[in-house]
Amino acid sequence: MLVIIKSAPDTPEGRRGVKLARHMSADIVLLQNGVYFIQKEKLEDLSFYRTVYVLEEDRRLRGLKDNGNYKNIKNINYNSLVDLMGGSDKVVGMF
Amino acid sequence: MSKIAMILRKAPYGDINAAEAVRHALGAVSDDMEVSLILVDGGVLLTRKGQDDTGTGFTNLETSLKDCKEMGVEVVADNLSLIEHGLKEEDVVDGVKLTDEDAIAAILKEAEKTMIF
Repeated sequence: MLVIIKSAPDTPEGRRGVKLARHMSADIVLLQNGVYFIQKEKLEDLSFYRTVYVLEEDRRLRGLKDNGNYKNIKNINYNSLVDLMGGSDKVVGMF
Repeated sequence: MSKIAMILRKAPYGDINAAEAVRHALGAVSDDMEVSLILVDGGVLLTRKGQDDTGTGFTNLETSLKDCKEMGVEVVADNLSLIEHGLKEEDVVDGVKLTDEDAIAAILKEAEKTMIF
């Protein structure tokens, strides 16, 4: 299962999306302002430790250089996002 | 010379607010107004160095912020918001004044008009 998050960490929508993914044991895709979740401790604060896909273009645009200290982060481009969504049994978004 | 303060609270690129704040700041300073662009909450993310718009079709707002400073806009960023959003001083583009809420309040007190984005 995949949860897609476009809202920043300082928004209720963004945090709700991460919590839902945690409860449903789903992976998350971060795009637009959602990419800010990869900054310092944002995901750890919400106890999220599954796979995190980050849309590379949105991350670069915002000047976020690296994946912070998360090992479970995968950079994707738009095409692989489409493949991910096609290959997932359930997709929920965008928070 | 009339004084105007513009407060940006939203992170860039997620919606139109950051682009509009910068656009209005440039417009006001071109009309010989004294302009302060005050960045708080997610708005401080506008100051992050290394914004790369290649292939995205977006206007690079780091460049626009530099234009603002070159034209004489005073750009001020709230220290607490920088910490909350994981930005260190070395992450911030040059020429941005890092300050606290008392200094921001003083700017707002002086300004005849305040616009919030």
